[in-house]
Amino acid sequence: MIDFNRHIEIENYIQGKLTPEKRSVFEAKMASDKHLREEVELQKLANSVIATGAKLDIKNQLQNIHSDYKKGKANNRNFKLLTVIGAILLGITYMISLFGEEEPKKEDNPVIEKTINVPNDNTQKENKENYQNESDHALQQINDSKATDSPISKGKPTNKTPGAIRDSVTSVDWGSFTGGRDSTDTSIINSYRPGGLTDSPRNDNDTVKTSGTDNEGAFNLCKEIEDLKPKYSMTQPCFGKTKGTISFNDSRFEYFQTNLNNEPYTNFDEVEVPTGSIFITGIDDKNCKTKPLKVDVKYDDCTYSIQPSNMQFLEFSFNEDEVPVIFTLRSARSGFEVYKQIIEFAGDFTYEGIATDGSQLPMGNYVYLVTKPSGEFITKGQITIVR
Amino acid sequence: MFKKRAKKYTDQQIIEEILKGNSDQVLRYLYTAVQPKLSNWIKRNNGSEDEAQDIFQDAVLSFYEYVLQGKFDASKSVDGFIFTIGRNKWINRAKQKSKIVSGADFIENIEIETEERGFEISAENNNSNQKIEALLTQLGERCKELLTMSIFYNMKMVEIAESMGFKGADAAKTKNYKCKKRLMKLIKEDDSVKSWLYA
Repeated sequence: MIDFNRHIEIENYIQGKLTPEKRSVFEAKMASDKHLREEVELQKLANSVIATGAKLDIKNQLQNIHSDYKKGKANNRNFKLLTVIGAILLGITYMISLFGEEEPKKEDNPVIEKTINVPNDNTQKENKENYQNESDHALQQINDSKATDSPISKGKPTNKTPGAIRDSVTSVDWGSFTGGRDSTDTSIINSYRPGGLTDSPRNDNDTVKTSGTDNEGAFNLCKEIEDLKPKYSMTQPCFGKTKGTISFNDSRFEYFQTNLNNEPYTNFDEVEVPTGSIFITGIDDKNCKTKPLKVDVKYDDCTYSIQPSNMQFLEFSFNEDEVPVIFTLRSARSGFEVYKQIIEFAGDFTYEGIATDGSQLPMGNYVYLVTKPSGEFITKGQITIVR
Repeated sequence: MFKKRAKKYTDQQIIEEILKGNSDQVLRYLYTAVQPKLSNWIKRNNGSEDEAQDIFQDAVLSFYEYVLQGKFDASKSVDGFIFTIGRNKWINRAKQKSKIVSGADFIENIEIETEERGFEISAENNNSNQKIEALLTQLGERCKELLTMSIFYNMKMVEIAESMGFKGADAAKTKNYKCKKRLMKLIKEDDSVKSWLYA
């Protein structure tokens, strides 16, 4: 067990921060002190572990970025291909309709019927019997879905003429690119439907655009990100001192706190979080969502150092909802209670390093405990008094 | 609506962000600015895409070390610097693999030394890497972040306190000490890691 000052001296030696004189003294000490030599080596190794870990993190980050871009390129290629196929199909549809004008219309021509019909709710039900393929079925299920996250579909007609035209194109596209997806696998679509987090209703054009272009390949993409966990960093709060914060540094996603509000925040936005469990959902640029990530925010065992002789005291600030609390201080060595204070009102409270009787406490380590009057634990930590 | 693009940085901003320990956005920017160019060059010189990505990662790490050790010459362009390091690394690797690199004259006026400061633990050793990652997981995210800031990024305690929400430099220093002690304890308890001490 090495003490703080010795640790600092070793660190300064490793980092070459000692003056030449001090360095010579230190090296002479090392030559005769086996334990010191071992401690120096151990600290060096600890530094190497951290440095190597940091390098691995950077490499991993770069690898993730690389994968993101590769995926983005692949999607782009698929999108271009889809556009070309879509254009060809539209052309074919147009040609058929041109020839169709010269001949009596056949009622059982599915493409033309879907293109010119303006279905109401009843025709929509009838259409269910005539899905061209399983992807068409999936799209129909999206339109039908009023449950879960479906602000788009709320109280809105689900089929309009542009939608019907789109159906004739996208149904073929999806069938071509989803590689024989199991037709029962519609939960993915319903759970991760694009636009699901947007509260404001969209207009019909938005709906068409979302389903027709942004949604291209959505099944596979959303399935891929389903189990990804956004990387985050957070600071746990110190009771009466600092707030808990969370920030994300995973630029694959934008983020929502799903149980608090729907305000999105982006990378490096540091957001204050209350204690308790919060749930974060990441959304990628295709509007696919990750599963909610549970993050527990609890008071940290914070450590403070005060120097009453230099007027360095410990200042707390309590909110209305945090009081009343009981602040108890015990000697870290003996465990004896040395100070107890009931804090009844919100506002600032300063601890000046005194005992309950008002006398100055000797220097040393003390453990503080904050509880509710009922005895319910809130937080604990350590205070070092320096004289 | 959620479209993300790599933020554009000036060379000066890149250095500042690295010194502040912020890396994700900077890395994203460096990726878009250098990777395609370097990757094309390596692929033209008999390298695969995976090899190009590997070399790019090593080049960025070298650049980080130059910046963190205060050795980066600010008169050089960051993109050019990383590209040159990457190119040198590929030339060295290709030589080792006896691959033919077109135009040996590419080595002209490359004054940048590509030797990295040697950490005792090779970043190439997967076994060691796994152990290190396991150790750091045991250490905890917050301690890892704090020690990374103080040891790898050489950040001052005041900056760390501000970045991590400590009340002041003293609190950060104390926590840093505790975290370091904890890490050393973990190393001591792990026989295989401890053996590195005497390797």
